[in-house]
Amino acid sequence: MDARTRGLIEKARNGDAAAFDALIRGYQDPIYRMARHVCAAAPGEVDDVFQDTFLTAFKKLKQFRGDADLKTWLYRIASNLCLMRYRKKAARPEVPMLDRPDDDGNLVPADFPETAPAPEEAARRRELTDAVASSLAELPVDYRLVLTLRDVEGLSAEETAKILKLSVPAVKSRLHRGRLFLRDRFQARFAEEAA
Amino acid sequence: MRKHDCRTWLGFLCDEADGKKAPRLRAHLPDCPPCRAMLASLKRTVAVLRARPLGGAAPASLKAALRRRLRR
Repeated sequence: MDARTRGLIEKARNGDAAAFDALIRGYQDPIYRMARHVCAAAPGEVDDVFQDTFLTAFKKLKQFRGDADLKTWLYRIASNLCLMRYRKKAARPEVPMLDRPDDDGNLVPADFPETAPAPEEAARRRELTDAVASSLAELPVDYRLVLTLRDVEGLSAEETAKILKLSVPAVKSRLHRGRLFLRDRFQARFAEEAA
Repeated sequence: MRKHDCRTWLGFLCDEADGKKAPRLRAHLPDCPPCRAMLASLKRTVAVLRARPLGGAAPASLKAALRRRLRR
């Protein structure tokens, strides 16, 4: 951590809102993006998660250990806020393994059809956005958190485990299952449209 | 002979989809079309998410609202 950041933390700990604002400037977009993906099932919660993350951080900055990573700490606060919101809702469904073994015990390949859009195709971006939002919304929040931190935010399995207070194998397991789930949903969505 | 089960490769397939090299899987892939199809579809799924399709930047109005609340 550089001297400027340490200075801003010190001032913010003493209630200096302008210093806190300067401190979090580089983290606002990642936290917003994370909230957009994790709250795919309830887009109305995104702004609240975003604001509550930073208001909580400002309030609890004295608890932040100077040797810790600020971004990781903010992701943890945001993750907890998402979990609290979603855990109030109905019991979480089990995420099924979507590939069915065939007679030889192998996985039935379920690749995307040729019509699936590549992410860089601007004309189909909206369609893709809808598909991702609705597919993510079907996943339990625990899985959305792992997929978002790993695949959207690009954090490592170790960083994700630390943020979510999970073991690395638990992160990997949720990631695998979540990816399989999304893959199947994308396939169903685009196969439907191609028909 | 024991039948091959692609599920045993799932962890390696996900690692490979992350760009990590899984030498045992690479040796296995040429002989296993289901694993190859699985890897291709996992890579596409990851690529979709990495493109951050739901957007990224927080709206300026939201940042301004946060700033106001922090200063209260």
